[in-house]
Amino acid sequence: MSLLEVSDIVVRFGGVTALDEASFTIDEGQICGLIGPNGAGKTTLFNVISRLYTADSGSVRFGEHDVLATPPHKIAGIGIARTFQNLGLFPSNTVLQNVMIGAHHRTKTEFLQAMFRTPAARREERETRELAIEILNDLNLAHVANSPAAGLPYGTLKRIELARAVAADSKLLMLDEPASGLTHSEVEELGETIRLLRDRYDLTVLLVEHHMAMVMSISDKVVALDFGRKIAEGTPSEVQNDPAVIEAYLGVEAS
Amino acid sequence: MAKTTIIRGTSQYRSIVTVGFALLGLVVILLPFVMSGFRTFQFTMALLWALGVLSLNMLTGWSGQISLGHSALFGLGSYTTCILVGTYEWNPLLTIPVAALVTFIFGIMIGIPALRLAGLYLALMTLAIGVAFTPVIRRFKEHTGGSMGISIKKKVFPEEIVGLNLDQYLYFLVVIFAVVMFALARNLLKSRVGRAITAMRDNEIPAQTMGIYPARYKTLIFATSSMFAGIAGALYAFVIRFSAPYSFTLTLAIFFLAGLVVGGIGTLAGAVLGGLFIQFVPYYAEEINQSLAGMVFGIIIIVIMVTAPTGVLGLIKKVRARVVTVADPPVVRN
Amino acid sequence: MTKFFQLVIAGIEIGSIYALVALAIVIIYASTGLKNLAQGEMAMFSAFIAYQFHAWGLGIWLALILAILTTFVLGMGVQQVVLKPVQDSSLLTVVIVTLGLFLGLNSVAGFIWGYMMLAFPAIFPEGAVEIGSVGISYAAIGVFAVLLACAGALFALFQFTKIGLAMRAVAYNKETSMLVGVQVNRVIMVGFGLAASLGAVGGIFAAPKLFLDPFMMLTVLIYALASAAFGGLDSPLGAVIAGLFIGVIENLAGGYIGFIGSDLKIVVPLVIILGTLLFRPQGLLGRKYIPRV
Repeated sequence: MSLLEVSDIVVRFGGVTALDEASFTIDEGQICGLIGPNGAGKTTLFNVISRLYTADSGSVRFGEHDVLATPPHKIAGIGIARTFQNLGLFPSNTVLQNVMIGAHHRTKTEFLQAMFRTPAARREERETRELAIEILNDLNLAHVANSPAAGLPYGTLKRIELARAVAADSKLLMLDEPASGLTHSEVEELGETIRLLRDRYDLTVLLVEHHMAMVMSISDKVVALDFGRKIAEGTPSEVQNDPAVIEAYLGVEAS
Repeated sequence: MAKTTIIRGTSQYRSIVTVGFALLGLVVILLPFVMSGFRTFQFTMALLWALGVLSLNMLTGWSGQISLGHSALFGLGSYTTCILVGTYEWNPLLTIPVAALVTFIFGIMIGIPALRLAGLYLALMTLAIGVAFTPVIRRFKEHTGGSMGISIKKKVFPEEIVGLNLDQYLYFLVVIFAVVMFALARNLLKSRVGRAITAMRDNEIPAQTMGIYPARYKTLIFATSSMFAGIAGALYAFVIRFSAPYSFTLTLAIFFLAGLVVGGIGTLAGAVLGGLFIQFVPYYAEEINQSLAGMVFGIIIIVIMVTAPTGVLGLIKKVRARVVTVADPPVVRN
Repeated sequence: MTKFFQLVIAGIEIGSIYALVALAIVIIYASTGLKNLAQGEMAMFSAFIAYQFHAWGLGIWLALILAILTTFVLGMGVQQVVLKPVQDSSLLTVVIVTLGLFLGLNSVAGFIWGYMMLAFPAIFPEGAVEIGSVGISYAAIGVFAVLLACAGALFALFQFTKIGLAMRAVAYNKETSMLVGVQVNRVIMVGFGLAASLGAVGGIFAAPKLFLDPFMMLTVLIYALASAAFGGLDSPLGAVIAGLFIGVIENLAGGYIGFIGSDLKIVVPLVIILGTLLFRPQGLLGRKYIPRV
């Protein structure tokens, strides 16, 4: 059975239909690339799955959970983590704290325990910290752990966001344009990192990306959207050679 | 000058911090025995203001929600104690938990509608609460004494307690509360909850996708902050033994905000500096002219916000950074 | 019924004052996004200036016109010196700075003129027009007429003058206005002077009724803020309607609901702010704001 099943999602903003009966599935452990020209509805789809937008119709199933019936702050709890296209970090917190916040939903300390530093709260704090350090090491970020997130280079910030998403210990990791703004060598490294993380943390990855070489090299499966509709789905090479995809990107009819 | 580096967590760092706190503790303990009763009283008041600033800091500094109604919460705590002791003859110490509870509940009552208000509107709503407090207190004069206020008789406190006179006793009582409350606040800030609250302030939508439930944390920090203000207000009633509607006007709310800005928004030690500022600047300014305090406050607030938004504590840290670097230890895997 | 009409008229009189200060707040908000919490104190200060001119022997009308002109200049000065540096800062910074201004102005007024209530000379003649058993004082008619005149002048300014057009452009989009050659900084400065003058009109016409002291505008500020929120923060017309409405409602509530009386009237704007924010956050006539993810 597939892990994520997106069925007939429709999202309209006023007169614009951003997603028009989009459907696809991802199997556990897959890296799935989601491609399409600007405005195809990729980020909108992410926002629907994160419950930041409400779909007009359709359904999203994740394992045994009905995603669209889950409130936004419980999405992390059912095992879905994500990054943001324009970075969604907490600039005044340190890098280590940012990653620890990623583990928020799997920890329990509340106001009273926190104020009185109960043994359980201390233990949990120590464990969260160790976990975060572990992940920072995996992503070569240990050297900036205690710096505030504000003011670090863009490529580093992107990796921090990735680290934070990993700290959520989710089953599904949704990455929104992780390669944008990175240098050529950073992009290559990122591709390897994503695979490494998938294997090490048993992740399933849904990846929105414009960087075709990377998408095609690391994805097990690719879904192409255009004007909110799915126009192709299959292995990277199938999708790459699909006439509808070529047309969507080049704007000409493939003969 | 050669710059030294001190690493947090090393024995060197620990001994410096220990010596520092020991010295501070010594000063705090000796102060009421060296200074006159009036000076002791002034420092007691400064600590009360510091607690008020701390409570506002928890809300404004940590979660970014603005409150201009903390004067009312402080006043509510003070009135709770005055009414219970003055009218119902309770033991003063027993009124503190009641004041805490009353203001906690009141905080939730403000905090819930506040959830739907973006920053500006929250400022508006709390401003209205701050301004409305005085007339509302006057309206219920059968309980509050109206414009005349309500007082606590001095004799509810024994003349001498464990060898301390009343000024000294109140000073130490407030010191103990302050130490405990600052410690609780610090623990909270440096915990999962504190991180969640600051994360929400920095960037709410991503915070939500991490599983942070904004409504819950915003309401609870509002209530906790209100409770801290209420406890400070109750202690104020011990020290002043009087509550009057004109003690808790918008001016007090602005003073808290001024203390916050002067000390340094978001910092704990800054609240103490803010408290000292609120107590001593008007005291000396008013010796010259009744209006000078307000002018000085107004000008200082504006100048600091424009030129040094990190406040006095930020300046102290900058100066310190010229002499010594305090660094965190490198992060290593166990 | 006489009581009802009498309360409505009193409400319109005081509501006109709220509307004037609310207009000042709305103009600044629309053009800069700043909410000036010191608007009421600036108005109070203007009333004192008018009082001072009168005390120096000028006729009341001359005194108030001079005071309004002085305020126009002072308003521009305040914008340049105090608010310009924080114009694009966070909301917290702006709130704190305008409160600093609030406290500063309040104390300076206390320093110069003291904290005792001063009687402000009547601007309009004593007496009233009798319609049936209802008396409408000349003061009430006068203040309402002043509000209409100010609102009308403002409308004409926005619609028919170059500076008004520039103001609307800046309010709509600062960056674009700059690109098409509008001198944004100057427009904002004039807007501030204009708002301060409107507030001054409110303060001066409120003074004979409320008496002069440094705290006279504190509650007016709350009512004006409530009016601005209720009418829609970026809608001048909304501010006028809401100001009058709140004045009337407040008087009726105070007059008919015994529990409220005169002390609890202040709760009326609180309830109105809350109600507006919960059910129609953009206000009666404001533009709806849709946040982007």
